[in-house]
Amino acid sequence: MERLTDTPMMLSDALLLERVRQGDEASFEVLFHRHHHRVYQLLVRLVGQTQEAEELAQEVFLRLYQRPLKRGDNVGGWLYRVATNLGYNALRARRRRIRREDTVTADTSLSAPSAAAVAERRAAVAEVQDALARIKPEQGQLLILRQMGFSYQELAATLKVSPNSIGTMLARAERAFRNAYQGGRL
Amino acid sequence: MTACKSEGELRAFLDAELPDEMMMMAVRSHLESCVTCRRTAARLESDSAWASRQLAVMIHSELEAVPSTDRALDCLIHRIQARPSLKERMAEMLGLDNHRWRPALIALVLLVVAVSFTFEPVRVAAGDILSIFRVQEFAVIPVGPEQMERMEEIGRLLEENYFLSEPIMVEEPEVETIATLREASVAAGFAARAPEYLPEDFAPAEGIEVTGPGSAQVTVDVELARSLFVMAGLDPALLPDSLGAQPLAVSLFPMVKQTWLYQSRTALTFLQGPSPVVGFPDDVDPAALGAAALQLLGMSEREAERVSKAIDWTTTLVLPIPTDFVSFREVTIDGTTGLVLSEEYDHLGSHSALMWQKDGIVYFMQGNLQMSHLMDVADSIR
Repeated sequence: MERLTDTPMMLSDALLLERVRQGDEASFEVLFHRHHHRVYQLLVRLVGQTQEAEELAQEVFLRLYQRPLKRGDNVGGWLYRVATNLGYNALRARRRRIRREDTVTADTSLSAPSAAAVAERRAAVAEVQDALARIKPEQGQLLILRQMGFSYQELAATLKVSPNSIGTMLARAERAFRNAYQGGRL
Repeated sequence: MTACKSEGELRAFLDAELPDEMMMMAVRSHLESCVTCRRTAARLESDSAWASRQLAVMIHSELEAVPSTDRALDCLIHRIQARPSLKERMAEMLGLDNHRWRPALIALVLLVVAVSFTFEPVRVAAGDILSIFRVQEFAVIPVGPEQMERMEEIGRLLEENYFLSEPIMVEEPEVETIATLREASVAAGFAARAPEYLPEDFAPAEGIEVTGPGSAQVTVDVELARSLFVMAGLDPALLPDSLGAQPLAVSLFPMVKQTWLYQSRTALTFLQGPSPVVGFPDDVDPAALGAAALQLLGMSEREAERVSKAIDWTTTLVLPIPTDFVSFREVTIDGTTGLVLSEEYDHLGSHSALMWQKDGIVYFMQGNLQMSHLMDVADSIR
């Protein structure tokens, strides 16, 4: 009979990572199932578009597949860091594009009241993304992960810092975010 | 009254995330008696609630629907299976034959140069840079057929154990297509030049590409890089901790790219831009690292040390060239010394590349031409 402890689903990230390093694809799939949801949630909050978030999440796991981490690395922390980097790159690229084009494409398929609501929501999202793009990526990551419900312990493990410093980091990140947002509206 | 609490403690208190109940009680009790801390806590709470409200804007019903993980995994597996190898990607980038590994290797060499063109100063944020790398000349390290396999191995090793983080683009350089060389010079901030002579039937592509300045950050995983050194039999102590202490800031600087077509296909490209500058911490010994790189290419320790000492690693861009199918030689071009590389394909004609540095500007020209024809074009640059 198969022992429960031998099935990949029961293994810790560290053990799964070790198996991935040895070429075990089943363990990679378990890591994917375990972390994909949160990686996607992080990305969709950063880029605000489902399709782009899905594609970026794929890219994150593709990199994990191609370059398995070192023994003892925090898989979740690495995934969220890479996702944040990719999300920020996408966010900033879009900001530049929008600045260049400086136009908003109207969605003519929507009825007038609905179109207005959509446009309003898009503008609100754009303002938040603009502010996120102007603070440090680590601060944006911290704010989003906290909003996703990460505890201080989880944040500390992800960011490789002491749990005692999370309070200070959050306070700074929130202040920077508010200043960036309000600065952008001036 | 107890001592005032730090901002971090107060912020953690608001989230009920202090390590234990005793600390929670201590902060609660302090707040009852301290107006200053109450004000700070109120401000922190306001910032926190505000941030939370704004971030909630990003989430609505459509976005909350998480895609099926199974479907996402299927897509990923499909991508993994369909993804071309690094060599194929590089060969594709440079329009070379995907199925021949030799052009791909040349592509690697050219890629090194092309990348060097786009990266200006790499600075350590701490400001403890004493050593600066700036291209003033090019040198070739000939690589024989026996060393080729070793280079391939190194390539595979690097692909599997990439020790540089993905660059975070702080400011992505904008690419503009500009009509005239004069306007391109204004946009790039230096006097761009162009050849007066071109082979018959070569036509300029529409517009001149100017890549603007930008910046990025990249982090070196020193531990991983050291483990690669160990695997290659080199001394891991050559890589100091400071190399990975904080992200390296990479400035991307203006570059002008002109292209000419022959029968609607890219036949000649000419890149020019200020000489790349790379700063590294003062405890990195470039000559020792250079000697290590030479050993990676298959030189004996003694030979690598001897050659490394003869090279000024702070001014020389060293290119490993597989000599069994690429010929190279030093040439006088534009009143200075340059390097020309040439490869003859069996059935695809010739491919040559020429590089030189003058007055702080580095020039790189490559095309589907014989070495002598490329030299004629380069000689006519005004």
